[in-house]
Amino acid sequence: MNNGILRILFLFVLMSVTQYVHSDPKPDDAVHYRQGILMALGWNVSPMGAMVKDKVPYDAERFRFLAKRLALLAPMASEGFIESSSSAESDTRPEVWENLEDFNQRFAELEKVSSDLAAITINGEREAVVKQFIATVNVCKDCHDNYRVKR
Amino acid sequence: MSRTNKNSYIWDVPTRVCHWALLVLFVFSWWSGREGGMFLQYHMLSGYCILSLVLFRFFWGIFGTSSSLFSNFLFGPAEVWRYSKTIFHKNSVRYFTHNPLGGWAVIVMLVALLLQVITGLFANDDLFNEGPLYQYVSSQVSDFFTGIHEVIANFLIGLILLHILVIAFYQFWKKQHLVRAMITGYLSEVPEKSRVVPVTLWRALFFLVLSGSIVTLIVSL
Repeated sequence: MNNGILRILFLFVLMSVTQYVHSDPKPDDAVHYRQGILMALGWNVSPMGAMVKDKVPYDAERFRFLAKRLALLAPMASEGFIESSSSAESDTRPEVWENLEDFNQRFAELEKVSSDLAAITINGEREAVVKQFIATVNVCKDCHDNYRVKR
Repeated sequence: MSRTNKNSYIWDVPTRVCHWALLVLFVFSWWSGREGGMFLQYHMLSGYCILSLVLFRFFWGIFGTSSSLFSNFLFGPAEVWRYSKTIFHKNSVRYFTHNPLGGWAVIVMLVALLLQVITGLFANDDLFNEGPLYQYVSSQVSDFFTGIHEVIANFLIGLILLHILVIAFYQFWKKQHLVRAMITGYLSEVPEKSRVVPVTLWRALFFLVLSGSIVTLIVSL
């Protein structure tokens, strides 16, 4: 192969790679992505809630495990709220797109409270853990109240 | 509390206690429901109490004292229409239990409360609280019930505001002191035949315990 053909091939490869990197996710994929992360957040919150409410015995180690996962997942959700998905079918209220700054601020807040929760579970007493858990779910609830479609 | 000859007994203790307890529980439920989170545990307890009282009131409407009996205050459409036409008259026919319109308002309110608690049993808060029967339905159905639960909550607020307005209207325009009657049990100018002869409270207690047991059974399914 001569240099010219190699160059052209290289160019094509480069173009397709950059094309892949730059192409925005499809709106419905973005919706599925964020729903998946939010579902996973809820998946971890539920058993913690059961322990906090004494529905199941408090297990510090399990709580720590769940809180760690929560802190890991929390920063991932906001990525799915891309503007091209604003008209895709989801439970997102249109207000989200009008108040993106506030909306993202809430996710920043969630990131903070959940990482604090994970930190507290390492050595914290149950009481402190419960307090931080409530602070965490209140961030969830406030955002649902404002930005999630009413059921 | 005046108990002159002109004042006669129309509401017995169980009916009055039921009425005011429902008010307190409703206000608490409304508040705790809005707060959400950890308060929902108490919100649910409050709902169970409301369900018990609503069931009790249905029992008391069948096995209770005269003014509380459904058969004594639920009238047919003709009577309701006749009364509706005269509602703004200062001297419309007086009823010493619920009037024909008010009687049906009682039923609407009780049924709304009943539906409210039933939908609540299947509801979820999207976080970590679920009604006791949540496990028996899919999450879509639970979400649906949760939505209805919020709609009925607002409907009930409207009903209660309307109720308060109408009572104020009777108080100040028709000079019928219905609030006092619901607190003390006594209303003035009641004809002999409309007076309530109270029965032993054991009967009420029996139906209250029965209602409470039914509710306990339901929520622990």
